[in-house]
Amino acid sequence: MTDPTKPPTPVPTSLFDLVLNDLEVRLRTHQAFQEQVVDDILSALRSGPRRLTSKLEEALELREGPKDEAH
Amino acid sequence: MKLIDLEINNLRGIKNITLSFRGANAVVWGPNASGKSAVVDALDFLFTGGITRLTGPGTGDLSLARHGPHVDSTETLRDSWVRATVQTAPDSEPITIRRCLEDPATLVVDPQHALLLEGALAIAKRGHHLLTRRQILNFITSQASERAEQMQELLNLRDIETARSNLVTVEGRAQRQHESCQHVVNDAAGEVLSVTSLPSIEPALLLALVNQKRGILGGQPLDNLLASHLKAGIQPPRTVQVTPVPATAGAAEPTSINTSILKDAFQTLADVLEKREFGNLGACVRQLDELLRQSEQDANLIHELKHHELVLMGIDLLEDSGECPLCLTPWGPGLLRELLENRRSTAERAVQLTALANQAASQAVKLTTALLATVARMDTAATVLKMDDAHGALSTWMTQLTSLRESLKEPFRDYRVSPLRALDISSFLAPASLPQVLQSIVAKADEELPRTSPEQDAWDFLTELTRTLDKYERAGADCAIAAARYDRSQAVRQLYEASRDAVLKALYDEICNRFVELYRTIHGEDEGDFSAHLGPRGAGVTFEVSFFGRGVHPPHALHSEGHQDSMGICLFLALAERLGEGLFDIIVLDDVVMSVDRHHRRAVCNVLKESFPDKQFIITTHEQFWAYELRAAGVVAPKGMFEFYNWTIESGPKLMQEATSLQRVRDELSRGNVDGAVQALRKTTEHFFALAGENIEARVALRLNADWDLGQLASGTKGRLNELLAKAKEAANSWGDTKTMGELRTYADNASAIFESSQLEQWALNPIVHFNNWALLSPGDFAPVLDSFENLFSLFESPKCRSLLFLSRSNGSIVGVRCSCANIHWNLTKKGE
Repeated sequence: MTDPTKPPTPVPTSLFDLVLNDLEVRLRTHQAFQEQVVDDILSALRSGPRRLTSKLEEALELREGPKDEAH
Repeated sequence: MKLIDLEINNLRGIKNITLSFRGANAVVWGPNASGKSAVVDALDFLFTGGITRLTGPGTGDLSLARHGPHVDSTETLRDSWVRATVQTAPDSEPITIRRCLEDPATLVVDPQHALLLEGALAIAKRGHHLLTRRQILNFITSQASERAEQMQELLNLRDIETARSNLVTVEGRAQRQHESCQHVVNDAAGEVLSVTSLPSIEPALLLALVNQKRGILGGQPLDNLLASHLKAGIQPPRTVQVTPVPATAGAAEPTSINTSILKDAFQTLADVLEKREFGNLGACVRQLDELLRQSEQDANLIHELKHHELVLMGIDLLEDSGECPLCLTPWGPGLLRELLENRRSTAERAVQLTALANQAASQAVKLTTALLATVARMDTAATVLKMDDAHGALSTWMTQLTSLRESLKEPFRDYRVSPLRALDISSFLAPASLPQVLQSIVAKADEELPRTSPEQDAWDFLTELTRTLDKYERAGADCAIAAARYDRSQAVRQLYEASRDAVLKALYDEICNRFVELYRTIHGEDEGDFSAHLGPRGAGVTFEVSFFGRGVHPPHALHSEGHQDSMGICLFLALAERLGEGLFDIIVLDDVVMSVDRHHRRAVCNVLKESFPDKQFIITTHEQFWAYELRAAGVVAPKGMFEFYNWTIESGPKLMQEATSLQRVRDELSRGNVDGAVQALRKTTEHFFALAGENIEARVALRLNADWDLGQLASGTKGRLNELLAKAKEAANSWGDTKTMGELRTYADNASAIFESSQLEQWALNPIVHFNNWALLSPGDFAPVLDSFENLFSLFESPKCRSLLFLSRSNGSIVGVRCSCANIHWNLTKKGE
C-alpha cells in the first residue's frame, strides 16, 4: 500500500508554469529589467489572479505598494 | 486514477445499480432508452459535480436539482447519489468517493485521501474525462473560435489568458499615465514660452536670453540651462520696486507685478491681436482642421486605423489556400491578400494622418497655454488695478482659450466634435474690443505702478523663468519615468505573449503529431500520407487536414462523417494523453463511433488497446456488434461487458455482465423459457461466429446483403480454424518444434471432439435454432446443447485473456494466429519461407 498522505505522482509543470519559465528567461536577458523588477513581476504572476493588476502595477512601479498589508 | 466500482442511486434513468469495473476497460451497451446515458451522467456528476448534458445551448430550462434525480424519486435530493471506489495507483489503497445531488459541490471523501485525488479531479473538472458526439462536433466542425474555447478549456489555458489580460490592463493604464504626463509637460512648456516670448523651447535661444539677463546683473554666463542655476552667482538689485499681488486677485503665481514685464506681455498680445496669430498657433489649428476634414471625407480612414493591427496580423497569417485565417471562409487565390493589402495601405495613411494631427494639436496646446499665461499676466494687473470691466473681458477670453486648449488635448475624440471647431481660430486670437482693454491696463499701470530698473526687470525675468522652467523640468522628469514604465509594461506584455506563443506552439505541435499518428493507425491503408495542422490563429485555434493529396482543408470540408468521427476521437485522445498528466486515466467514450465503419472500428480498437494501455475506457454504445467487437479485439475483457436491457421507468435497466451472453441464455432456461433461450442463443451465436470468423478470415459464400446463414458462418469458421491448425502444425514440424507440435495436436483433437459433440451441422444450429423444433424441447433437453456451444466458443478464444483469436501479420502477410495476451501464439511460417 502506498502512503495515503503522499500524492501518487508529482504534479507535472502546468502550461502556465511553462509560460512563466520561458518569460523569466526572456525578462532576465532584457536590458530594461533589473533583477528585482523581474523577481517582482514573476512573483506577482505566480501569486494567482487575486489583485493581479495591482500587484503587477507595483512590480512595474506604476503605483506604490500597500504600506501595511494587515490593514 | 482508475475506477474499481460504481454505484448509482436514484439518478437520471437509474433506480439503483452497481457496476464492477475493477480498474479495467468496460463497455456498457444496450438498445436506445436502456439507461446507458445515465451511467455517463453519473460519472460526469461524480467527477465534476455537474452533468454536461444538462448544460450548454438549448438547456436553459433544465436544472441539476430538477432533472438530475430519477423522475419517480419521491425522496429528497439526499437520496440521489453516486458512489465509487477508485484507485490512484495499481497497488494503492482503494478510496471511496461519493457525491450527492443535495450538495453537488461537495465530493465526500475521507480527508486523508482528499489530497491524493485533488490533482486528478481538477483535471476531470475541465471535461477531460468525457467525449460525446456533441464534443466531436465541437472539435471537428465548429468555428475556430468555438474550437479554441473547447480546447482552451481542456488545456486549462484560463490562467494563461487571465495573466495576459491583466498585463494588457496594466499596459493600458501605463499608457494613459504617460499621455497625462505629456499633457502636463506641454502645459509647463507653454508657461515657459509665455515668460520668454519665444516661439518654442529652443535650449540655445533660451540660454542666450538667460545669459543676457544675468549679464545685466553682473553674472557669469551659464553653459547649461537648469532652473536651479539660473540665479546662481548673482544678487537681486539693491533697490527693488515690487507691486505685490494680493491673494484675493486669484493668481497664485506670479506674486508680484513688474511693469516692464507687463509691457512685454502687452506687446505680445498687441501683436497677436494685430496679426491674428501667436507663434504658429493659428497655423497649427488650421492644419489640424484640414487633417480632420481629410479623415472625415474618407469614412474608412479612421475605421481602418482601429483595425490596423488586426489587418497586419491577418496578412501575416495568410496561407496559400487563400482562406480567411479568422473565420476560415474560402476566398479565391490572392483575393483576400489584395483586400487586406488595400486595407493596410488605407490604415497606413490613417496612421500618418493621425501622427500629423497629434503633432499639430500638441504644438497648438503648448502655444495656447503660453498665450493663456500671457493673458493671465494682464488679467492679474487688471485685478490689482481694480479694472473690473477689463478683468471681465480678459476672463471671457481666457475661458474661450482654456476650452480650446482642453479640446485640443484629444483632437480626434474631443476637438473633432467640439462646437469650437466651427469658429475661425482668428476669433480666438483677436476678440473684438480687446485692443482698447489692453491699452487701458498698460496706461493705468504706467500711472499707478512704480517704474522698474533694468536690473529689476532682469531679476524678475529670471525669477519667473526659474519658476516655470522648474515646473517644466519636473514635468519632463515625471514624463520620462512614465514613458519608461509604459515601455516596460509594454515589453512585459510582448515578452509574455511571445512566451505564451512559443509554449502553445510546442504543445499544439505535440498534440497534432500524436493526432496524425493515431489517425494514420486507423486509416493508414487509405490515408498513409495524411497530415494535419493544429495551432493558434488569432483568437481561435485552426485545425486543417490534408485530403488525399488534394490540398489542406478544414476537417469537415471534404472528409466523410466516419472519418470526421475518427478525427474527433483521435484529437480527443491526443489531447487527453497530454492532459491526463498521469493522474486521471478514466475516459468515457459516449457513443462516438456511430459513423465509423466496421473495418475501421477494428483499427479504433487497436488504437485504444495498443496506444493507450494505461487508460481506462468506459465505452457506451447502442450497437451490440460494436460491444462484441471491443471484446473480440481484447479492448474489453468478458467481465467488462455490461449489457443493459428491459429498461422501465420503475426499475431502471436490467443488467447482464458476461462474456458471450450465454449467461442470458442460461437465465432464460432457468426460468423454463426455452423459446427465449433459443432466441438468445441464436443471436449470440450469430454475433460470435461473425466476429470469430472475421478475426481469422473465415471463407463464406459472398452475399451482397451480408445476410449469412448461421450454418455457413459456423461451418466456414470451423473450417478455417482447422486449416490454420494444419498450417501451424506444418510450420512447427518444419522447425522441428516437437513441443508445439504436441500442443497443436492436442488442440486439434480437442476441436474435433467438440465439433463432433456439438453436432453442429446436423441438428444444433439448423433444426433447433432455425426451424422452431425447440417447442418440443424441455429445458433439460436444451441444456446439453448450450454446454456444447459453450465448448465450441472456447475453441476460438484464449482461456487466459478471453480475447478471440486473430491473425497476426508482417508486411501484410499472415504469419501467425494469436490472442491479445499472446498466451496462444501459433506460428504459420515454415522454415525457409
